[in-house]
Parts: sequence; C-alpha cells; structure tokens
Amino acid sequence: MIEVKDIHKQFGRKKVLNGVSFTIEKGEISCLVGVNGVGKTTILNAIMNLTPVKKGSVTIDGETLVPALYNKIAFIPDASISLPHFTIQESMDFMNDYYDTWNARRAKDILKFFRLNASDKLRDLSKGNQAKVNLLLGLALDVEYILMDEPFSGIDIFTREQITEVFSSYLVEDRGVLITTHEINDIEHLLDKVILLDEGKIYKEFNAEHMRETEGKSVIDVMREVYTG
Amino acid sequence: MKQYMKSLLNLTAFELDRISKFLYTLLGVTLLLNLIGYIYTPMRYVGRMNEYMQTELVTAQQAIERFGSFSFYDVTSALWLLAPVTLGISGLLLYSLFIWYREWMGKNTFAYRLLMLPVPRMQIFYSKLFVIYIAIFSLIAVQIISLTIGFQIVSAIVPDDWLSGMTLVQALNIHPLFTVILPVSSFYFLSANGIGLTFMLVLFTVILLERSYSFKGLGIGIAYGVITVLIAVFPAFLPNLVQNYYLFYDSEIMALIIVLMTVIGVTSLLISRHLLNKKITI
Repeated sequence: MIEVKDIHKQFGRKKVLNGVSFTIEKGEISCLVGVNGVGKTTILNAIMNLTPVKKGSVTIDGETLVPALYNKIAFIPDASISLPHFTIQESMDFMNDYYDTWNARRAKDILKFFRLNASDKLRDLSKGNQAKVNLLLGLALDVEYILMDEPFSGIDIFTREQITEVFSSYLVEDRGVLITTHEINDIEHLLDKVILLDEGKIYKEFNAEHMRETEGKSVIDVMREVYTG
Repeated sequence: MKQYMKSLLNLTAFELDRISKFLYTLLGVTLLLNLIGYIYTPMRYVGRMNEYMQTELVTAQQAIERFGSFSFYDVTSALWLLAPVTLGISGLLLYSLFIWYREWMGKNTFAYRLLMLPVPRMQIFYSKLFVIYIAIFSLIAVQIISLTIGFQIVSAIVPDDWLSGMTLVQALNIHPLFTVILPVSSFYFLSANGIGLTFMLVLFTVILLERSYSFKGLGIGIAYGVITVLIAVFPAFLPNLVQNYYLFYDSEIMALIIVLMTVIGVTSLLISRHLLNKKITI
C-alpha cells in the first residue's frame, strides 16, 4: 500500500498542498483529479521523492522510499524522460541495464501493439508516439505500483484509444495504480477510486462505480459540482 | 557491493559516452594546435636565424649570440601550447556545470529518469565526477604524448648546434603551467589535483544547492563557496598571523592544507548526499 500522510508543500509563499492524505492499494486503479495547479503532479513527485515536502510522509508498503524501491514503483510523467538522441531500443536497453524488474518480453509486446519502430530516435517521434514510448518504458517494468501523470496530455483520440487499451491489458493484475488526468472520460470505466483535490486538500474520495450506481453521477458530474459550484 | 560497482560503472560509462564528442573535440584541438606549435615555432626561429646569417653575413654562432639558442621551453611557452591548455581547463569547467544542468534542460527532463534509478543517488554524483576526471587525465595523457612527439619534431627541425641541449623534462620543470598540470613534479601535481578535486566537490555541492533551493540555494551555495575558499587559503596567511609566536615548517603548513582540503571535501560530499537524497527538486 502507498500511504500519503498529511503532506504539506509550499512554493514560495503559495501553499499548494495543505495536509493531503490518502492510500493506494494494490489491485486498485485510483485517479487524482483537480483543476490545473491544484497540486496533482506535486503529489506524484512527492511520492517518488522527486520533490521534498515541508511536512508529512509517504510510505510504500510501510517503508520510506529509498532508491531500491524504484524496482517496486514506477512513475510515468507527462513528458518524455529519455534522452532525445536515444533510439527506442537504446531507451529500452538503458532500462534493462538498471532495473531488475524490466520485462523485455512485455516491452516487445507493447512496442508491437503501438506499431513503434525500435530504431527510431525519440526526438524524431511525434508527441503521441513519445507518449507511447513513455508508457512502454513504465509499463514494461514488473512493479507493484504505477503512477501516471496526464497520460493523455496533447494526444489525439486514436492514440488515446490505443493507450486506454494498453491500460486495460497491462494495468490489471495486482498492481496499485494512481493516475492524474483531465481526460477522465477515457478511463472512467477502469477506475476504482477517485480522489478529488481542491485548494490543497482532498475534497472528496469516492468509488466511481458506487457513485454511478447509487447517485447516477459520473466522475465528470461530481467534478462539475465541485469546481463550478 | 558487486551490484553497486556494476551500476556505478554503467553510469560512468553512460556519462563517458555523453562527453565523448566534446572530449574528442578537445583532444583533437589540443593535438592540432600543438602540432602547429611544434612546427611553426622552431621554423620561425630557423627562418630568422637563416635570414640574419644571409643578410648580415654572419656565422651561426654569431646568430645564436644575437637570438640565443633554441630550447623546447620556447615551444612550450608559445600560444600554440598554452591556448589548448586554457581551452581544456575552461571547457571542462563549463562542462562541469553543463553535466548537471543538462538533466533539467527543456521539457523532457532526463533528471526524472536519473533520480528514479534504483541505485544510490550518490552514484549519479560520482559518475559525473569520475567522467570529469577521466576527461582531465585524458587531456593530460594526450598532452604528455604530444609533448614527447613534439620534442622529436623540434629536434628534427632545429639543427643540433642551435639547440640549447635542454631536455624535455628540464623544459617542463621550469614551466610555470606544465610543472603543475603534468606529473613532472609529484608534489605540484598532487597538490594541483588535490585542490582541483576539492574544487569540483565544492562546485557540485553549489550546483546541487541551487537545484534544491533555487535562488535561495544559489545564495547559500555562493556563501558556501566563499567560506571554503577562505578556509583553503587560511594556511597561506597563517605564518603571518602568528609570526611572533611560532614559526611553521613547510611540512606543517602542507599537513594543515591537506587536513583542511579533506574536511572541505568530506563536508561537500555529505551535503551533496543529503541534498540528492532529501532535497533535490525535479
């Protein structure tokens, strides 16, 4: 379980996170939603120890994140994080060199599914294809938890469909998944839990399916209520 | 331990690959400019000697009395050899900044990938430091080879009678720059490298302070840099400060310098480790 406990974060004088707490269980797909600037990416960065928090703690299966745990948790940011002059193959080789959890067979499968050419250089790829490579490099790790930041950002509808299909195939099993996205429609059917952020705090946490069944509201409906009053 | 070394070697090889083009360029420019110096400087001397002998109708001995005999020191003091050294030092200094900042450049930040590697984050620090040192020693090695070849070229161009008889080592021993950067004198070479290593550790710490705390970090980093410089130069002023009470032997001053450099180096490593593990921001 990933446990985020009472985290506070400030940029200059601006308080971005003001006591955020939640948990992510294995086998559960959760989505962190909120308007721009509400601190979604900051939370993911804080979980991955990529930005320090002023107060609070993050534990993964009861342990504070140390580098060895990057074999247990993967983060797919919303931008390509491989070297632009690398080919896709070189990017995969790089992952293979460092991660015990790199699953070469799965990488090959995803590569084939996305119809990517391993010898293409990342800098020559379209934004959509770069996002696919980013996903490939994250999803091919046999980790227990995956965090994804805006996986659909700036991506056309057909690519989104492909990515959603990959999610359905590779985010299942016993992984704990946390996604941030504005494009909630594309993945709403996959979600177990929705965490709504507002003004640096968790405003609401609910089960998407339960909300649909009991109140007849989609996630977007709930978001509309919260953010537009 | 085996796994630790493997990932450290992997990272170092990776960084080495990234510096390779820049390093090859520096090495190439060094060799090219040196070669020009080995040919141009003695030929100019030979040309002037011949011209003087022909126009003034004097013997070679009289011309030597006018221009002096030629030594390899004349070559090592020429801009053709000094410029590449300066270029190498300033190039590697700039690269020492670039080697960190490039990870945060642009939208696609490679810092994400580096900081999420399942290896101790100090390995990133060490691999970058090792690569700078590999580059430094590559330049030194190429300079030594170049000087050895250059000495032969100069000896072939200048007639034996016109040469001063100064050996390569003698020429380098009296050279204010080469005697420090090349292993001619072990004392100077080790001192220069000790100071250089400490400087690099402090520089990396300043960079990490800036990457962790932004402008505030830059201010703290500059203050840290100034304090370390003051500590490092303190032994040089110590004899003047206590001259009425105690006379220091050179060995005592040297020991003090080594202790202070070690303290600065270890402190920088500890601060850097803390910053990389707890404070660095993407």
